[in-house]
Amino acid sequence: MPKRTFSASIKHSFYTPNSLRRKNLWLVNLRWVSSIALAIFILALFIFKFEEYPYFALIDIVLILLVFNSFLLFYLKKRKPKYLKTEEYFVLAQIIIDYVLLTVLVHFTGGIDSPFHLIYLFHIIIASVIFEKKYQPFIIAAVAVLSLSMLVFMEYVHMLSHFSSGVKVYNMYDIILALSVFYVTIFTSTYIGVTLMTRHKKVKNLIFAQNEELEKADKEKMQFFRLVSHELKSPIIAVQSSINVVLDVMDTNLKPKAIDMLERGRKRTQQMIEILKDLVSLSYEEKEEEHEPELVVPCEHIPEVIDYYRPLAEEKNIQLIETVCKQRKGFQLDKFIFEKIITNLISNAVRYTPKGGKVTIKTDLDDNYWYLLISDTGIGIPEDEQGLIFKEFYRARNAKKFEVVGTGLGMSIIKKLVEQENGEISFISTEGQGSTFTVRFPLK
Amino acid sequence: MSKKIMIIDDDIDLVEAMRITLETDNYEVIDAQEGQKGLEIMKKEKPDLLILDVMMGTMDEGFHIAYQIRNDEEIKDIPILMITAVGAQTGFEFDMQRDEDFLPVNEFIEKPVNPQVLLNTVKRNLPIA
Repeated sequence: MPKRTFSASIKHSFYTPNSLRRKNLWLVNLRWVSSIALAIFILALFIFKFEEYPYFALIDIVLILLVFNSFLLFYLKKRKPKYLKTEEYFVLAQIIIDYVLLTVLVHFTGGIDSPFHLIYLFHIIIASVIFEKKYQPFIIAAVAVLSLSMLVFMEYVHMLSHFSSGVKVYNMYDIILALSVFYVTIFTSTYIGVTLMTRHKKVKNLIFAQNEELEKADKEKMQFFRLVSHELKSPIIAVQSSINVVLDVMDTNLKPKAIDMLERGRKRTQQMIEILKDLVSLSYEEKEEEHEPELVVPCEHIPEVIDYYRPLAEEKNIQLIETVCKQRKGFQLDKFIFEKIITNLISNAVRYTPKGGKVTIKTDLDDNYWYLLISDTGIGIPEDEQGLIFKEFYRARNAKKFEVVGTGLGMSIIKKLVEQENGEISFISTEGQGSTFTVRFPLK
Repeated sequence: MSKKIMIIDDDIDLVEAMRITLETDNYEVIDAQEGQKGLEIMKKEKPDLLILDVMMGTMDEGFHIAYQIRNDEEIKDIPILMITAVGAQTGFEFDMQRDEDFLPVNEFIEKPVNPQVLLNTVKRNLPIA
């Protein structure tokens, strides 16, 4: 098999239109919260009588924020996400409008002295998380830096008035120092955000790629499995056919001992064939085959299966009891799989029940489920092994002793099939006394 | 006159086993290991029944051969028994009733072929004449 190298060469877009839409809605939610926070802040200014601030301008900002957010929400809820680009533009639009309103807010709360200019940072983080290209968050950072610088400059040259509760005197050096710290903070944060996200995306892409490789490998394994089983089957079938001819057809004068040895050979080849059949079967179950559920009336199929096993049961002097299956109610199931499930369960019950025993098949119905109960007076499952019987290739100790031939795949196949049809399987069993297997399927 | 049965199967050991089985019931057995050659022999020999392996070389060569036979005026009425190793267990089950039009064969026998089953199936499918 070729050596597998996991490469991140397969490009996956980090976001889908849907996931980016969720991010957009998340931003909308954050904006509700920040509007409320801002409203509380304004209320506090009013209560504590900071009279330098223009309350009405601030309230206007909150109102604009709320209106803008409502429109956005309305639009996002109405249209289904379709293109990645459109969703990206939405994010961009949200950031730009936020920055415009934020700059106005900063202006009315003291310009360079305003504590609100830290909020520019939030959008930098959002941009580095959302945008695919590395330079995009830096553009947002540049917009933040330019907005604040312009504002401060305009206030400094008195194109705009300066609202502040603190020092009214404007010192150029203080301004330059404050702006420098702001620039450094903004660009460092952008750099850190972008670097972390790049790494994060790389790892995620790698996981995607590995997952794909693993799925492929698994599929190949199953195909290989199937091929090998078929290849192994041919020679063993030829061997058995040859033995069959000698034992059943040819008129030979073999010694009883020779016949006995051939019989043993035949039995062992049969065992091998059963194992291979199960293996092939298992490899087919692995792949999710498309099957069409149809309306199955279980009580129409069960008698057929029982009739099929009657000769075998009679041979072993086992009573096959069918408590009359009367329900005419059908439910959606794959007919082929359903028959396989009951066939396997009944055949198991007959096989692992000693001579003179009893196998009872019962069905039941309640509001939500249809039940099939198959009880036998068989060898049972040892208590300490009851957790293991659905495992592939597992055979209970006493089962091996009782029946040489068997692969330990039967129960795992049954379980898989039952679950494939949304059913459940359980059992109760006492070693030496028997087992009852219950399968139930939802009626809807 | 004994009935003539043709076997097309690439596994010569299986052919041999079936030949011995069939010969005990006084059938005359001819065989071919490969599809196209089998078709030629069939046209020449006009057997009473064909036993055809489903999977030679490729997964479904047997099906192609069966189609060709059914579309050939000379031999289209010869009954075909298809032996298969893909049985109920593979999820590949053929539902005769449903697939009658699709599968141009008379009956399936699963490998390994039990001698008695083979004889019974052959007898059942031979044209009465």
